[in-house]
Amino acid sequence: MKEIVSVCQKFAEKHIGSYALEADLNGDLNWLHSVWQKSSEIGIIPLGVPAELGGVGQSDACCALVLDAFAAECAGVASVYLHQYVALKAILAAEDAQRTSLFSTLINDKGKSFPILSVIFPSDMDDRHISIREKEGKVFIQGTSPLTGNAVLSRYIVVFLREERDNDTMTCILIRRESPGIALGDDARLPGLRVNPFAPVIFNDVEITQECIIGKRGEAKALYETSLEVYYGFVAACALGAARRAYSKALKYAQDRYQFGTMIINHQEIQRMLGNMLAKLAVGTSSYITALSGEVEGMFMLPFKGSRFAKVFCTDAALEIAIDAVQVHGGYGYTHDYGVEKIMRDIKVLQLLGESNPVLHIKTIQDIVHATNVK
Amino acid sequence: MEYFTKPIGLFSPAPDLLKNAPSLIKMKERFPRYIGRAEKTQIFSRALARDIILPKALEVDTKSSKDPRYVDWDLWRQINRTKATIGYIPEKLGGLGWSGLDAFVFLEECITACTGISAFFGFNFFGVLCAFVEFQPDVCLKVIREMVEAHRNEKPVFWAWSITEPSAGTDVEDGRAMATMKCSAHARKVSGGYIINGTKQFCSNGSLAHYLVVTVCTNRADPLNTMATFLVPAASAGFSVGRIERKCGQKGSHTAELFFDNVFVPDENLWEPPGRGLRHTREILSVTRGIIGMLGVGIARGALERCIQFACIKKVRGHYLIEENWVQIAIADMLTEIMAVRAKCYDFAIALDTIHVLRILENLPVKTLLRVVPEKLIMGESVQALLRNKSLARAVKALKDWIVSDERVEYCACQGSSIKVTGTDLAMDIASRVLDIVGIEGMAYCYGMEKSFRDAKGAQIYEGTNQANRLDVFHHEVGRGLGI
Repeated sequence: MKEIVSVCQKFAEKHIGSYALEADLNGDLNWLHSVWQKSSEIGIIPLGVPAELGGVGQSDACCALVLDAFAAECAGVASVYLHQYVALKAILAAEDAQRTSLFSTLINDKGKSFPILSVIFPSDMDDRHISIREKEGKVFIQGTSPLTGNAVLSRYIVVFLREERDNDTMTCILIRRESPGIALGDDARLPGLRVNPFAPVIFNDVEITQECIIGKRGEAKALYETSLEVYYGFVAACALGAARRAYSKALKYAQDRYQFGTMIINHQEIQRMLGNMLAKLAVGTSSYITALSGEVEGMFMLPFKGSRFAKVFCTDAALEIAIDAVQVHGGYGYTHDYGVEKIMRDIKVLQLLGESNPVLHIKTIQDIVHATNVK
Repeated sequence: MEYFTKPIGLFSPAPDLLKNAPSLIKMKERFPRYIGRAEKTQIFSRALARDIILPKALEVDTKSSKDPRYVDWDLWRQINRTKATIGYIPEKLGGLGWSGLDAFVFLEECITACTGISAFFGFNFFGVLCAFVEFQPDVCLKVIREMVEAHRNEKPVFWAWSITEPSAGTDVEDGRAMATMKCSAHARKVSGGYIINGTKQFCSNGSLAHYLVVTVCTNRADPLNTMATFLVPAASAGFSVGRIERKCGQKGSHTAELFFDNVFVPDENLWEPPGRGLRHTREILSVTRGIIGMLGVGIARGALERCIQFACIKKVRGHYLIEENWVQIAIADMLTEIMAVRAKCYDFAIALDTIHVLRILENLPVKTLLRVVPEKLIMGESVQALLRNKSLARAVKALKDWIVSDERVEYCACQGSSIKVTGTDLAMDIASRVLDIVGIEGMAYCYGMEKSFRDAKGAQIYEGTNQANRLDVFHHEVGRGLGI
């Protein structure tokens, strides 16, 4: 795993880091596609896909560490891979025959590089809803998704749908983005992750065939939950990777900047701030790796894998780190050139992916109570 | 913005100054005109913020993102027509005669609408403030006259205050730090004036200024004891503007790098002699740090009001977001914090009116002059010539120095620092928490809340980083009493 992460780290330094700031300004999607293509050539994209399906067969923790390394160069680019890995994981959950068939579809559509995938989770905080209905023996979906990452870039979308607005019966489909009836809403122009424009996906009587449905219709609840847990773990990794870079920039700057009669690294308050950042990075890294490895699942009253808690801790910690890193840089930190304010903006968007952290706290307890009542 | 449908905050129909700071109720009994005028200023400011600034907030942010040099001069002219550009100038001399409290109230409402635009036209008050701190009466009147003429002719005259250098940010604001600062700019005494060379950085409106008030040392080896303050017309030979920074937020306000290449400044434009430059800086900071605290409250309010408006239209699970219990508690939390800091800011503004440089306008001879002598005469050349009389100028300066003593400057700098830290940390915290409430959909650019988040961070840094401000508070409140 260490060797794979190291290769990916070197790739990111060479191909992502040097242009990330520029891309943040101009939202250069051509550059993003060129990075995607290069990464496709060395197997970064199907990192979590089993070898028998043409992948590298790595664990969720390994994928997270790669996302961490990518996010250190550019969280926007990392977020593209984040959504890709989650979408691929959902497809991998299909039964053997269907899984092989779905992967063949993707690989045959490879073109210059593996197609970019997006994934849509329903949101409790968004009244917009994608409904599924039958008409004349055919199945259609209708509605608007929440803001979705990779929406503008993707060729395929994995969609988790609730059969009825408020129930737990869920279906998971894989659909081509250019299917008849699918349109994109406006780019939300989020303050961060600028190379990955987020937009709602609009479904207008889009027909879905049996082949689109991953697993069985109405039986995707468990897949939804595991996919969401992985998603949260990956978000935590991206946030920490970005924060890690903010910390190292602040550490370096503090050793170069002179104020109040000495290099500012010699001021105890700066030392305290940097030490605080490092503590959060250390704890956060352990939290998402432990969560994704499943080592403590079910232990110590933890009702879930723990990735959602890693997401909450890591994104909150990462934002504090980034805000403090800008502060250490003073006026320079507020300018685009130094790259620190970009990290702060990127992390704030990551913090809201899935659900915002207060909502996640509430939802967790509601899920526990619901599960207890159902028993 | 189209989703602003509820009559709260900026969209309230009635002033709520007394409701927000109950101590002003008692104060209104004692000083009805003073508080009454502040209430009227709040109504005026809200209308301007709502009708002129708010509709342009996102457009200016977008255009400035593409080109940091962007300026909307039509917007300046619209604001100028309301006289807000000269609000702080005495009414008799053509302005709106704002007190410090009026100015704070005005700033709060404008910042709620947009920090960048408000900083763009609002920071122009540096011209009058720098002149009043310097307090050569003829210069003060000259500055006022230029500002009033600029307003009448609709031709902007911009001022900027430039202290920061590439290697000296916080170092230029504190005596202990200035003693060891590494100077990038230097002034050399020559016959009839000084020659300035070097670079200044992060100057608000530096790229637009017709006049700059600049602090430069005359001996790089001893900056603390040789720091001087100069007035430099932008048209001076050798002066040029470098880069205009591409910032995270507050994009509507230019932040510029300035180059001085053998710029000659005549002796008459030496405002503070070598050794008095820090004193000039500290006196300005004793006013402006509190202002930035109010700015922080404005950003926090702007973010929270947008959040409430959004929550009133956003449906979740069959009801509105504002009806969710956790949202109500979070909003209440943020409101209680804003209420506390806001009251402290008004408190500070009233203190400035009472014990700082504006007190001069309450002084009997000055008050009588303003009341009795016609405006044309005050602003005319004969009065200016009279005020150039050295004895009279010395007497007036002595009066000003008696009112604004060193002790008073440091007291206000400490109080201002405390408000600055509280207000700007509040802005950053609330701008972030608001996004947690509205989620990723509410974070979309069109709602303006992510802009508040981007704007907030800058305020924690300028006017002295919050860390430097904390040191000021410690040294004034604790350190000097303990001999530390």
